[in-house]
Amino acid sequence: MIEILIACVQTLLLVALTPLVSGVGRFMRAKMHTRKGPPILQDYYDLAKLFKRQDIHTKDSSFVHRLMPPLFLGTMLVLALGMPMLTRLSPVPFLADVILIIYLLALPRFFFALSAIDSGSSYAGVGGIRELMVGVLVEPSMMLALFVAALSAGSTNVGVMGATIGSLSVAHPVTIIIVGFAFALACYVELGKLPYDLAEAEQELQEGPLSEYSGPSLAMVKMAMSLKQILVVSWFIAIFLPFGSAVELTVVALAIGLVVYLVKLALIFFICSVFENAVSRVRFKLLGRQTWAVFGIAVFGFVFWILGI
Amino acid sequence: MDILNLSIPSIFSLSAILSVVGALLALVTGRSEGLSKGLASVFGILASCAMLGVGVGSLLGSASLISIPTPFAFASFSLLFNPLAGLLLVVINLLAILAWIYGTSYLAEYKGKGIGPIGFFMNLFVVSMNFVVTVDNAFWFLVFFELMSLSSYFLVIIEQDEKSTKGGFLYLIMAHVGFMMIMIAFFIMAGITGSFEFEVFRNTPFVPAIASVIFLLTFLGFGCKAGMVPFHSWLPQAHPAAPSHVSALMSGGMIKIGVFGIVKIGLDVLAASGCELWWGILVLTIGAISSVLGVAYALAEHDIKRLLAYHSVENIGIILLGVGIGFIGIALEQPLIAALGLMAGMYHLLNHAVFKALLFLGAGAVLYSTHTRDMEKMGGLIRAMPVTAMCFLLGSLAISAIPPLNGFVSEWFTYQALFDAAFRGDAVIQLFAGFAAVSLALTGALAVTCFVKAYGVTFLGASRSDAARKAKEVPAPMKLSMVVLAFVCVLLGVGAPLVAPLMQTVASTTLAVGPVAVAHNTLVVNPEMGSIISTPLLAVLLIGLILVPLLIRMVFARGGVDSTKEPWACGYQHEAGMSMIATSFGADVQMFMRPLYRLRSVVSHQATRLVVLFERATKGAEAAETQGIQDDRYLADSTGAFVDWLGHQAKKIEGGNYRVYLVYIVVALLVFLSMSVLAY
Amino acid sequence: MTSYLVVNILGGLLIVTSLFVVLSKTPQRTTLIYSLQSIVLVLLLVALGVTTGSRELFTWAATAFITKAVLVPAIMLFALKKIGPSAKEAVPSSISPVVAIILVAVELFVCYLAVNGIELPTALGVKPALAVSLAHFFVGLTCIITQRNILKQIFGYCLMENGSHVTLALLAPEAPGLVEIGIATDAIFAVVIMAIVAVRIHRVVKSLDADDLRELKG
Repeated sequence: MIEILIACVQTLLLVALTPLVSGVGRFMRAKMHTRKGPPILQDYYDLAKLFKRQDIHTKDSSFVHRLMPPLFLGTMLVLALGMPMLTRLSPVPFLADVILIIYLLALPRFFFALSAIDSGSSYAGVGGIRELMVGVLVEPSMMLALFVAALSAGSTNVGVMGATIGSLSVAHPVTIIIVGFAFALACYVELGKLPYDLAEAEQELQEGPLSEYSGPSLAMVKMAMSLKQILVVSWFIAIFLPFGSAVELTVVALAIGLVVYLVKLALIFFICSVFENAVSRVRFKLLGRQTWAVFGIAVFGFVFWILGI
Repeated sequence: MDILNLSIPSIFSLSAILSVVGALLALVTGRSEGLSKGLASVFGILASCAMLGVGVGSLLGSASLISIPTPFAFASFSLLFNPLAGLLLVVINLLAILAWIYGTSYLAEYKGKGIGPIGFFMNLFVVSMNFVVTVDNAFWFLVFFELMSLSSYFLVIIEQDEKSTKGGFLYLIMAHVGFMMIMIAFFIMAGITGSFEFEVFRNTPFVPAIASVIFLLTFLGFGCKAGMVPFHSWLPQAHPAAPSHVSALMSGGMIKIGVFGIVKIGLDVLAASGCELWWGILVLTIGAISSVLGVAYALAEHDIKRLLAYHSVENIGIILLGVGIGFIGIALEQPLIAALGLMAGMYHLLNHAVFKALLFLGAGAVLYSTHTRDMEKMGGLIRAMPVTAMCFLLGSLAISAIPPLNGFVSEWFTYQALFDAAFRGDAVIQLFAGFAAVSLALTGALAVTCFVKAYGVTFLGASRSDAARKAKEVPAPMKLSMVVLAFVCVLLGVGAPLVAPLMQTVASTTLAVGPVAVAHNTLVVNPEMGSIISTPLLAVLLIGLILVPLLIRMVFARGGVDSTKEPWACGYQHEAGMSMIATSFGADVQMFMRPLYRLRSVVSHQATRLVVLFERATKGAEAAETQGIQDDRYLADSTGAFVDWLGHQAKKIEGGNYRVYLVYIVVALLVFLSMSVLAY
Repeated sequence: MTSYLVVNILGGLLIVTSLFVVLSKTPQRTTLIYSLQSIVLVLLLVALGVTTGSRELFTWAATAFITKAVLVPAIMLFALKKIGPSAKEAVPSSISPVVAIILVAVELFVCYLAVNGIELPTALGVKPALAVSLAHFFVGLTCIITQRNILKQIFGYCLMENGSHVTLALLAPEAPGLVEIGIATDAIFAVVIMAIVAVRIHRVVKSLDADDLRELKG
């Protein structure tokens, strides 16, 4: 019973915090550009205002265009329920299978790209296809990295993998470090940050499909996208950096877990943010080379696992 | 249970008789097309309903072998009703019933093109498939296998245009290449045992070398039927040529008989001879290659039926991944892994049959309304054809393995089987299992892209031609078939905790191993690793949590909705020509996956070469009759070309770059190392 | 078995560093990474010495530290200085980094298969490290084949040499120190000679690209 409570609490907490995280990100970027930047709470104001606006759809669009925002948000909420954040093990174990998570991320991606085509806009369409391409390029390395991590941990459940790695009893430490690195890189591409994507410029890039959204729909998609970023980072934390999360379900342990989780999250987003602002955009054509390099690292980890180190 | 067991053969024969009568009536009344169609459909549906009963009975019951003596001593008519045959019977006849219903309206497209023959051949096709999966005698197996190939061949060439005859010819050749290999394998077994009964084969342990030869021949032979790479090239030519409901039956049902054959011969008939490890690795590798290449080529298509045909290649690959783990598990003497792998394969077989049939019927509906297969000329069909569009969407989600639909569940089991094999196997198995998992992930991502394209370009956005603007929703029988299949897709996914144990029974009885617990309450489980998912609960959560934002929006959003605006085009006037079309997708994928498409020219043309070879052979024979000995030009030509090529390669070797010499040293060292390993 | 864990982990680090040697763009960076790798090698010898209790291995470690972590990098840096600023220019490799990574992984796998398939006089626990050492031979060759910069080709040779070092230490930890000193000095002389030749080549051809050396062909 307490697990269900934790799942609900962490999901609500995440929803409440998401605009703050993206707001801090924008603030930091402005500071690094030596701009004044928006207030930290700007994203809350944006969402509230968008919610009051008129919802505009293109004239040829169908129900897919209308369904996508709530579907994206809903899928992210389902993922949030099962992701171990405060706790070491997943509060809802049947939602924490790595294969399920990878394929569940494909559901919003499917509709995201579909809605882009549905809108009839060419910019949205190009963005939709690119979003799909990123999925195609990232998924093999992600799967291989997780495959190897799951094999050394003896389970495909995020919580169990985290518990094995967290107890430092893995038989293949080098393997875990290498595939953890590969997975981190794959996650970074998924985050949709520079050098692979530029969230503010909404034309022709991955975020392109957003250009035909407005009002409450746009609010929901924006919310869902920030939520996705946090979830992907939490995913990495849960498997490869589970240290400090609550092993026992006591109030003290959970409180420590929460604090540690927030610190880890802040640290990772800080690093990402610094990195993001230190690089320039890579040409979309060259994305393939970099993701294949990530795949190469994962292959390396795989061979190390076979070697048994 | 007794009554059921007794009645299975009688229902079976009743159904067979109904089919044959239906076929003959359709042919006799061919002049009046309405009557012919009606009679063929009614008899076909009745026969398939009866056979569906037989299938369910065999799936749930225990295996029973019936042998009826015939005048020929070697060919007594044996029928085996076991869960594996039952599964195939259910698949074939479920699709057949729906195809018949669909056909009652769809055949309007074929007025004057021979509705009588369609009824005749389709009845014959279904009944021969039913016999192939149940007969337990090599001679009759070959007879019905051939009948199945021939009847489907005539269905492929029914349109009689150039494309369909060409596709049909390729199909016929590939089917016979496969047939020859299977026949040789069966004759080897018959020669050793002195009998044509599978039951005798089953109890005879063959020498490993012989068993390997038999396995290889049957694997390649049935592989031709299944359409695995490199024998896949007939699929995208033959399937689109046939009427859509026949395509559904071929892609959903017939190519599964290829998989059935591989499983039946490799894991059942050869069980007494044991199983070599490399069999499983071969199956796994071919499966991985088929899945990736199938979907990659599908992405480049803009003919909707060819796209779907290529996806059959992909899905056969995924099924073979599961089957391959089945082989590997047996070779490793890990019954649990074997059962899990084969179960994943069988589950995907069932799932693919359902969603692929749904998609082909959907494509047929589009064809029926727009009279074109070119996706570039469609667009916006969702407004005119809402039911078709919804069904096609569900099918697309299912084939893209989106949870909680059925495609996801079987792919999840395939992943789990690969995990288990890698967990328990040695270095070589780990390597292959790892890369099979990677190729499955790549396949999944490409399939999503491909179906976003297929669905988006066909049904969404603005209509791009007059035909698309004038399209109307299809008649009720066609809608009914699609809705039923869409419903089954959801059921097989959400009801996974109920379906998985059934598939497990099929796998464990085929392998003769103990039952494996793959489901627990609402969970599906991988017993080896303890991984769990729950599709019913996931479905509930997904629907619930998608409704939450919708509700919040309904309550709080006050801005209203306006859906009259043109898409934004950077300030220019939007034109319909600016929207995405199918070609836009292919370009990006080809940019990133260029090597895959380069491979295509190598792999795809093998079958075409066979055709050319055949034509050359016939021409050569003709020429030989008239000109005598003079015509050995082909031989001379190819020898000359080979010598040229050799010289060219030799020139490369003599390039004089010392680093190239070093490459040879490294390669030679690696070869010797691997040889020492193998020798050990 | 677990006592060999540290040895194996260091072996893993060794292959990672040699991968970086292959991948790094400029000779300067390669030198530093090579020095780092030699330190890992020294640590590996020490760890092996602690595990097997063989005294000789500590002397090996000491000589290896002097020759590999200090002398060889020093020689190379000196050669670089002699060549001047043009040594900093990156000479392109003939394969992409992705291919290089996967190639090294494949070599490692094949070596593991080979090591796994052979009955060995040493403990089972060091098989991963042994595979790594064997793989170094191939990684070194890969470096020589794929890199067009002649200085990096020298490092390819050094990698092979490091590999043979580890193999020897793993298979015959009791070998007398004299053998080791012989190998080490041999390597030093080889590196010195090659460095001198490289400097000379640069003086004549004004390039470090092996593909520009076609005039030397007879």
